[in-house]
Amino acid sequence: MRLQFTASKALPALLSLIACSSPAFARTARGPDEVAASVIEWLSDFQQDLQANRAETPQAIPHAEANGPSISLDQLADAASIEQRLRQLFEGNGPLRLTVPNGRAWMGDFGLGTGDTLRGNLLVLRGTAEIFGRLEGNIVALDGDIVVHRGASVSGDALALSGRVRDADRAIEGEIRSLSSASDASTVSTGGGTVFRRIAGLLGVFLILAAIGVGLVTFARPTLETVSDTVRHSLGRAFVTGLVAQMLVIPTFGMLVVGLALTVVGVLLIPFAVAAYLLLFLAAVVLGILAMSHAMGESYTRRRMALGVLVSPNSYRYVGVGLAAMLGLWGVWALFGWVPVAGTLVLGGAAMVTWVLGTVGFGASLLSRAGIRPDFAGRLVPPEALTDEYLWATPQMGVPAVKRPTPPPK
Amino acid sequence: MSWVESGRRGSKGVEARRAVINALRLASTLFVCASTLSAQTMREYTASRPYKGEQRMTVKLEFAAGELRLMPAAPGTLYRMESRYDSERYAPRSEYHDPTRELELGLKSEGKGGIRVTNSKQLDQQATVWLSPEVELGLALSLGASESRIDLGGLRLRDLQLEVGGSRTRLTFSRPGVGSCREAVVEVGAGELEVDRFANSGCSRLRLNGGVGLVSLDLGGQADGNLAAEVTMTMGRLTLKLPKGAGVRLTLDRFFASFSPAGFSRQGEQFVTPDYSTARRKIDLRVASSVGAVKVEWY
Repeated sequence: MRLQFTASKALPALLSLIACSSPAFARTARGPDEVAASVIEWLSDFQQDLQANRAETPQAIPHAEANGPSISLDQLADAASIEQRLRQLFEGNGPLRLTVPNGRAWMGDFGLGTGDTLRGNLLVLRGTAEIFGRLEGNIVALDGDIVVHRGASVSGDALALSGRVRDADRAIEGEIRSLSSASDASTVSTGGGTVFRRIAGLLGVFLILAAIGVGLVTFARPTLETVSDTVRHSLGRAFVTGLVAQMLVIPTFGMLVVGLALTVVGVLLIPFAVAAYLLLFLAAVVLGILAMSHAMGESYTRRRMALGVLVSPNSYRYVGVGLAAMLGLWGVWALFGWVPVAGTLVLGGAAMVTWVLGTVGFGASLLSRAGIRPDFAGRLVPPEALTDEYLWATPQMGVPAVKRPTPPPK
Repeated sequence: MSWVESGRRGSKGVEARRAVINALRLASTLFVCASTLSAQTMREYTASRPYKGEQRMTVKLEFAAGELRLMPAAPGTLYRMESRYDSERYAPRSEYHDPTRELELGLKSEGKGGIRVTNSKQLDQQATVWLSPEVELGLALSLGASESRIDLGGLRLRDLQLEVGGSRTRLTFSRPGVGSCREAVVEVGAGELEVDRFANSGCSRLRLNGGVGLVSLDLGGQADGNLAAEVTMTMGRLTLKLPKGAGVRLTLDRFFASFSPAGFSRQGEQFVTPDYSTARRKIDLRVASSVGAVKVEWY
């Protein structure tokens, strides 16, 4: 128990210590996201320091065998690919052997003296290239700078990968390129910030839908209830209707526009028809989602009441509970969407469930004609099932029953 | 409820609270680690070439996404690009063919799904390009999902091609150019394009094909050469900003687009300013608009 307690505290404490000890934290970091960013920055600085201290012994890299590794420095346009290729070569085991066609490769610091001329391309790995003389070709440095001093000249291009090119006297005649290392460039932290953004976005969506739901319940409750009852009583039919309607939305829109364009007067109505169509579509979708939420909330509330829990059954509660349940899945995604594989699965699941619910709601909106027609809401009892028996039932309390009419005596 | 039951409930509550605290600790640890796992790498790429007396150059600039600035370079520089890009999805490009004097610059998509919409920092991808005003330029720009500010004022343009995808672009000619520009061709897909002081470009012809969106075209400037312009808008609003001193003849072909002919008098199928025949600078405009509005502003 004590061991668990110590371990559970040790890791956050260590991370906090690292974060707080970094200069970046002292400058900016305050929230959890900044703490994480400062940890990354500190670790990358530490790694760079290690690399800087691990100086390579300057030496020429021997040519590779006939089928050995080779890299051409004649074209330097795709700097990222050249860097990738060079780093792959470094990952190999054993001493590095590399062929540079029309050139040479060097490990560690390199210097070309005043008055010296080097013909061909030059590759310098993990070292600084100091040019005092004349280089007739291209020069590439990996994990090091290229410094061209006053009086020197480079007839070709210069490329510094994870380094800089310093050419005070404009002695490089070709193109000068530099690609910063991944750790030099700013690293955008997407973890904490993304979670906060997602939660904020989710809350925004919830509040907007809740506000529309409250408005619907207040001013058009019968309509909402009719669509909701259609969801509950005709679930499969509503889903199929919604599915078919989704497939027909765009063709119908095209037919509407073409149909109007073919008539003389209809052309003038196209902008209005387009706007009206889009609004109707959006209204049907939103009404469907809210009705779906209402149905879910109602089912849940009734089940709780059946278990003896005392709650107030009203449409506001139904809509609120349903929306919370629907957005709960997205809440899981907002919190844990960063987990590499599981995050994608949660996102896919949330999207799928939302699509199914939205399809059912959209279909119910259409089936009930936006809440006007309760045919599929399970409210209409077939006429043949109706009798007048209830008229003559004896009440349990209150008003006495009317006497059953009897035929007059003959 | 007896005190024994109450005590049991109390101990259960303490256990639950501990469990919640431990879960929060675990979540916070994972949260910190997650920031490391999902970090996105932005890299910086710089390319430049000194000016060595080149006379002309053809530039193809392709910019897939982000924020782009383009402006004249300082003396002694043929071109320069400073960029900051998402190395997981884009790759910088700079290639100069000396014999043909052709330059390719820009950020190209690596084909991994374009912009990562979950991260607003993605829009931090940016590039600034400088081009020499000493060289005659054939300029072809292709802009993707970007926000671009392009100032070609003072450049020696030979011709200009601008393709704009879904972006917001401001094309400015802040100073009169010194070249003899033959033609400018601008293609706008969906987005917003603002052309400012086009007369400074020195181009004698302009063809602008607008898709869906907003286009603002200012044909004024300090240069006084004549201009023939063809503007086509499929759907959207076209605002023509015309200098008061110029003589303008407008031929309008509209299907379902509103137009207010302020400042014009009608001559048959054309709208002409009163001083068209005597004006020192003449602008011949052919505008075709399908759905939307054509608005004229005089200044």
